[in-house]
Amino acid sequence: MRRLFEIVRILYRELHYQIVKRNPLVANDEKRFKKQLKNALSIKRNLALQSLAFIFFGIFMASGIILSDNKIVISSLAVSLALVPFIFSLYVTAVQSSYVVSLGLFEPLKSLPIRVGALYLSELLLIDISVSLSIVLPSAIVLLIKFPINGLLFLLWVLVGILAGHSIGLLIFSLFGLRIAHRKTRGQMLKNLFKILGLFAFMSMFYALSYLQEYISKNSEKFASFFGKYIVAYPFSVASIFEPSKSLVFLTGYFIGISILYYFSISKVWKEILEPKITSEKGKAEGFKSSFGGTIFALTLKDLRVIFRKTSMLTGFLVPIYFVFPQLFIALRSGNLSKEQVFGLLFLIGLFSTSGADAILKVEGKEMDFLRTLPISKGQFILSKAFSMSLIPMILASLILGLGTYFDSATLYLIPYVVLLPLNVSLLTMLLLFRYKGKEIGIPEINFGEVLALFLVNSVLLAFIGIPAFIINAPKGLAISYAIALLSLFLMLKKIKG
Amino acid sequence: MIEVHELYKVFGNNIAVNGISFTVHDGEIYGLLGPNGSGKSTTMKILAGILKPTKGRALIEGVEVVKDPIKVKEIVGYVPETPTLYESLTPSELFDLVGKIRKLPREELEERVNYFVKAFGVEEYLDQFIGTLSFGTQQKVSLITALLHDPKVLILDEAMNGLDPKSARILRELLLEFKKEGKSILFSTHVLPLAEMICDRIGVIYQGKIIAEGTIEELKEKAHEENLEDVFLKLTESKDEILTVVQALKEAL
Repeated sequence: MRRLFEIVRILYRELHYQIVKRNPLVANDEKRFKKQLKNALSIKRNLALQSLAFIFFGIFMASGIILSDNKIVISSLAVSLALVPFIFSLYVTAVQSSYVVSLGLFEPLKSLPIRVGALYLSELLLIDISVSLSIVLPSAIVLLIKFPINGLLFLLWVLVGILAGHSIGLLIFSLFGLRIAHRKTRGQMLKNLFKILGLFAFMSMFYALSYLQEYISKNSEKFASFFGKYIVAYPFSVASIFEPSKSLVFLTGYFIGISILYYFSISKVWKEILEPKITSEKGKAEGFKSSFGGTIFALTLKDLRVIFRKTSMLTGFLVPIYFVFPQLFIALRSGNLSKEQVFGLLFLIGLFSTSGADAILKVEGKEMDFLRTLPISKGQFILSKAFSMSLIPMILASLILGLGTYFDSATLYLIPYVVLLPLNVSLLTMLLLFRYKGKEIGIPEINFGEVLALFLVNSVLLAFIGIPAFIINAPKGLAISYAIALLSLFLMLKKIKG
Repeated sequence: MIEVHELYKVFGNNIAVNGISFTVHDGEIYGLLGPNGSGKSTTMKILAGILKPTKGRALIEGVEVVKDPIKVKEIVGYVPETPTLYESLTPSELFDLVGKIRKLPREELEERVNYFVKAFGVEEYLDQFIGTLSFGTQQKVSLITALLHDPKVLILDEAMNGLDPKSARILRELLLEFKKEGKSILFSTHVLPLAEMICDRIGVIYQGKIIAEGTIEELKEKAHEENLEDVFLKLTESKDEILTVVQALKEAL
């Protein structure tokens, strides 16, 4: 156990050293670099600072539970709260593990007699994941005071949720993040598509579970009476906390299932780190052919290639789906998807484009050293990152717009939002992250407190864009809204070029 | 031309580069030799516009590296001691990326890639992901990316690392050709016979300082030694140390 902690401590220090080294905000300022390094290498300090950033958010979220004694209201709040650490855990595991391995952190461990080295990776990630607990902790404390047993059950559900997100993240990483194709082939695109579909399937498995349960309940009276009014799929299952015996049965079932998944994933990850599966295919090298496009296009294309080939990194971009899916399901269940609902979903996707910032910056691990040997200006780099970051939300937005147009052709008028909203959010995010002086490129360090702040700033920007369309009738309101979005894009592009 | 004046680089309490000055003229191969940790790579990174010096000036073709690192990167072709390439890209995709960033016309890029790829025997690996290539092949890919834009100045930090004899010979011949074309080449290596073969002048760097500089003959004369290896060991105060260590090992065994 002591050895485990010692190695994890070393890995943590190395990871954060590598991050600070590539952070242009501090890398060229000797004093700041030393100070930042000192802070970044301390696990306790990092945890405390990040938890502090989250705890305010947590207190805000706990206010609902403080103010209410209604068990149904509290149950609903508990369900929403439990989703946050689960997604956080899934996201951090899938994206960060890919980054950690690409930095070569595990190379020195490969030659040592270690049976399951992925345990170190797991512990390392859990340090970062544990921060998310501070979001639910205030609510959990309030619940523990008000309803001790139910509060304890809630806390256990959250822990199980974290473990579930972490285990699924590890499985995604082992299935999609570590396999190396030997050669680029014509079938690669199709394979990548299947990988993405697989990833979608993983991420939506909890929704699938709720439908499965609905089906079973309809077809079996015995099961229907057991499930009763609760949905067995996490996080909806958390609503069962006010029926402790039932909740405990669900919880135990989850814990056993997830523990098996964790054990399986962790062994698989280490096996694949030690010996990545190389999928070899016969093929003849074609001569070199240059493609069209300029620097920014080439950099964006490079990002997308890396993301689609390291599919676990895609998880970072699929976060909006988690937030959009429930609303989409609710809307579609009513048999209609109105223009107003599409409007809301497009803004939601726009806002959640923010979550792609971390993943898009993590495309560059140690490869940043290579990029820095090339004549790339900061402006070009910012633009390419903003484009890469906004592309997947744009695809998602266009799918929803297409669906909305199927129900109501007037929805097509919202088409400019598909591009304008993710691009505005991405550009503002990148401008804020690359706010350092100087022309050189680098990877700014991005912590979760900063992500929250970015969400806040981007909400304000989206509010400015969206409010005219909301309060002034179409088409005038929409036209003003588009004009504001274009103006803000223009101003940001001017700032980048300047 | 590369001009270095009183260059310093300090990392915390460690002075990596301690006020070095030297010049690499047009059409010259300048060998920067020194033991591990002597400051060679740091100096080269500063000259390639990747690291900022703590103090001092460095000019590449008259451009100050601190003031305009992007212009410097346009001029320089830099090969680091260890290639850090995108493992999930293929060499083809990487060359295309570099070509676009360096704004090379398509025909010129295709011509140059096909020329170097053939020269270094990388043709069959063009569509293979870089992560699956051997260290030597990755080094060749790294070399090609540095040569694509026909740089006026080349900075090669142990560029022969991992190259097979055929490719090493090709690179050697290429460097001599580049020299004839008037390019300035700063070259570091631990293979002293190689340095003896191709370098016009040598600077011996030790503990961040240039402790000797001149042609091979001048250095031999100065150190009263017959070959470059002995000159190097004498100047870096390693000769007696080696004898002592070897003697101790013999006794221990």
